[in-house]
Amino acid sequence: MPTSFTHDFDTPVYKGRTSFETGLFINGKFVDGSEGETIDIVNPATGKVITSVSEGTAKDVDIAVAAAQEAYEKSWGLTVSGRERSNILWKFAELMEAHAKELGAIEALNNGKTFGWASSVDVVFSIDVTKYYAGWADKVTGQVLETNDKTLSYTRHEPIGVVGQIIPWNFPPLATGNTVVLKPSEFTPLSALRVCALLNEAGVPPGVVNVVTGYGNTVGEAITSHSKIEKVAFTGSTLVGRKVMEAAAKSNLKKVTLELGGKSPNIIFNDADMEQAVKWTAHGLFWNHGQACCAGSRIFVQSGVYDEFLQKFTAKAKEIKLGDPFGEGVDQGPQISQIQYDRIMGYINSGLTDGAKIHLGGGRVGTDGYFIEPTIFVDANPEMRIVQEEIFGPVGVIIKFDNEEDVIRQANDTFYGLAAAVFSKDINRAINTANKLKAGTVWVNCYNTFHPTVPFGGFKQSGIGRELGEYCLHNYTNVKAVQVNLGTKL
Amino acid sequence: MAHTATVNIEKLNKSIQVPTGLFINNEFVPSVDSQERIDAINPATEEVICSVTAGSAKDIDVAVAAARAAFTNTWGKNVTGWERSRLLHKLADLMERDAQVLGELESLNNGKPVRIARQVGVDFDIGDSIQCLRYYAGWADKLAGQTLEVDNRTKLAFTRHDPIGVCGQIIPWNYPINMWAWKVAPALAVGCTIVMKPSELTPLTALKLSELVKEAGFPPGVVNTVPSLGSVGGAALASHMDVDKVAFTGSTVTGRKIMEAAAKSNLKKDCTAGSRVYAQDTVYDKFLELLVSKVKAQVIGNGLDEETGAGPVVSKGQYDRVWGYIESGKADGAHLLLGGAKRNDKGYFIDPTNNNSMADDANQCMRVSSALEAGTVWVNQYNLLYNNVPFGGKKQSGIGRELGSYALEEYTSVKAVHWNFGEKLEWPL
Repeated sequence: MPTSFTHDFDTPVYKGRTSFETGLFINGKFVDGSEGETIDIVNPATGKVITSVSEGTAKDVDIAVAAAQEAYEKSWGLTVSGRERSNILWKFAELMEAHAKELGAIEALNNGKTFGWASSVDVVFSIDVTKYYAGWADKVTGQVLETNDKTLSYTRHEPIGVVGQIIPWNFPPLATGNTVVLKPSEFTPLSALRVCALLNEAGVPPGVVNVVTGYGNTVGEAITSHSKIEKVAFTGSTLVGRKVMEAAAKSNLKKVTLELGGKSPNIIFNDADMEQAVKWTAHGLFWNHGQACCAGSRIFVQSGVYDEFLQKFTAKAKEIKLGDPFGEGVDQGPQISQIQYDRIMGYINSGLTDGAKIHLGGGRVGTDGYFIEPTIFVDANPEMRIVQEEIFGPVGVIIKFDNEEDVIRQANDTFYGLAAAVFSKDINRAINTANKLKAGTVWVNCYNTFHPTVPFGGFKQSGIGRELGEYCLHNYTNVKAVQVNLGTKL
Repeated sequence: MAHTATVNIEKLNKSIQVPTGLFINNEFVPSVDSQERIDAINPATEEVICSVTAGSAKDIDVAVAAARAAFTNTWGKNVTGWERSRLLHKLADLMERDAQVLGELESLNNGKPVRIARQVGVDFDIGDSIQCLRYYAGWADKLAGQTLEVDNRTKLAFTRHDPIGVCGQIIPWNYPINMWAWKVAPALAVGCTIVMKPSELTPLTALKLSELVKEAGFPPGVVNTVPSLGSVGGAALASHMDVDKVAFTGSTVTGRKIMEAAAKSNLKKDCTAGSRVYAQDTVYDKFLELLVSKVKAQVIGNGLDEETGAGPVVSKGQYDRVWGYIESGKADGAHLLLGGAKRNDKGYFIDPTNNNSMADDANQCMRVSSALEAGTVWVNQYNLLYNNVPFGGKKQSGIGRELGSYALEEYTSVKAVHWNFGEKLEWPL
């Protein structure tokens, strides 16, 4: 008997009921895990269990892959036109739109991000991305290539087949005709499960999308090493990213795209617009409680404005209101889990031990739920763990610099390369610096702005491949060249 | 003064409201200086369905001014691709909702069978038009310029794909709704504003669609519709100094006149239906036998009859012209296989007329298709069009392409931006 979850929201910012099945979603139906086990889902604002979902195993991955394969051959893939896929994806986006507030509430409850952010930013962006890729579905073109007049050579951009997604996005692989086996995070599977019913309603054929909730070392492992999965996309830590790539190499050399961690530099020059720099920097660091791969967690401030910036930025950080994700006027909720909480506090302690100074915060808020104060470190040096390693929490390090050449060198002195930012009113200097930073996204006079049209991904150990934009389609197509001989006789 | 007509469809026992004014700035208005009317005729009965306002050259001025204001203030660069996409999808939704009414109106005014005009989700006029709108809605937020290497150390060069501006669009009577979609969708997707002159023979669906444009939420002046005689409205658009581009579908003869009048403008011309069939001698007899039997099976009648597979030709002018060719074929000694006799009852019906004298070999197909000088070559099929495959003519069949991503280029003006962020100039050099 598959699990289900019913919840009545009665909060200052949202009232409503949600009710949905929480089994594994395979072949268009919700089913139990094959071992009958379940995973408890915790509300990070309280630390209490709110429901449980079915736990998948390697065997369930096999079943899901078989369903995805059948769907690929019979009811998706090359049997369905781009126009039809486009219409279905558009319909799905409209259904998400109709349920946007409900989805936002589920996200806030499960993840801890505030209801405001979840429903008006996260969910809306997901809808926008879906609509964007729905528009691409019938525009995947190959090329006709000149060779000689006795040959017709052209390329087809075909879907790959069954792809494994250990990542939130579903739409690019679907747009290009692939079928999907998706493993959401075992901490936050609820919104992924909620939208499965919408998939059916939108007319996505059974088996095209399959959701198997489970742990990384069972379900994740099964996906990355499955011989019938042709490609895997993973979003997560660099540490686990390596394992994904190893497993892919050892199994069937499946294609791999990775979206991993970062320790992104945010460079503020003397001639920056100070007020804007402070606001954008706060957004760059504290957005999503610091739980963003591209967080601007190393803040380099030129000496001429260092004191002013520190004072203003600290004041801004103090304005951040922590509280229940469904509370009025709350800006920041809890961190996602006990494990993450411990890890972040561990880094804060290591910073102190290494001799850095806490300028603001550094402690827990309250006794229930995983709330950590916005925290600012100063007087750190480059060798410290808090400067080198990704903390993934509301903790930033502020570093003073003098020389432009030197700050660029420092900014690039990391094995990460996901994002970076430059604040300066001198646009020439800004562009020049942007060109020199080794990062997949460089924000100039802004931070953490995303658009479905603009690609996102990492240099170096921050990842492989790009998401969003037209670029993402390359991850989900196989190029076949066809060479037709029109008359050369041997 | 209300500018609507009630159009009765006796066969289906219902009536439709059709706007009959000029659609300018999201309102239906009278002509500023003319009392002229255009009669919309039902070619199956030769009766007048209703009359609409005939636009004058002055009215074209007013419409162009509205389109210019919209381009400058509320459309063009004032609106994101994302918003344009959303509005085009909304318009497609509304067409889908009103497919029945639009199909009946099209059939009444043009003569084509209602089931062919109306079918949604199939590759026929309205279904196809809806998908055309959705196809271009999908492009609206994907218009990318390029960054170009000049000197990586000191220069940034890039292109912006800007909308051209105010577009005059002149569409024919053979596929009123379909041609409307082909023109309107890419222009709006890119951010242009439009003054549309539908054919004076078939103005009704363009006017009905204008109601949907307003309902969808397009700002006033983005789409303007001015039914008018070709020699009046069409000529005025083609020579208007504040129209940045003219798109035309129609005859080659008129196309020349437009190009002459246009000077700086770009333009498109007519497609032709395939009327010359070449069959290789070894299959000639078998081919003819099959063709004649297929054609005989076609039911020619009133478009509002569900049984009808093909309707009347659109007007008296066309009727006389086609009969002129049939008679000249007879006079030149060609052998009539089928048809060739006029009907006695009302309506501009011409029965299929066939004058005479399927390749498996792929190499032959390829050689022949490569050698034929045409914008579209069909191999082992005919008259199948898809929204994502370009369509347009070579030689004197036309300039430019519609459909596919290629259509976007016709409405785009490329701007190159050269940005120096590092080179310091010494002067004199």
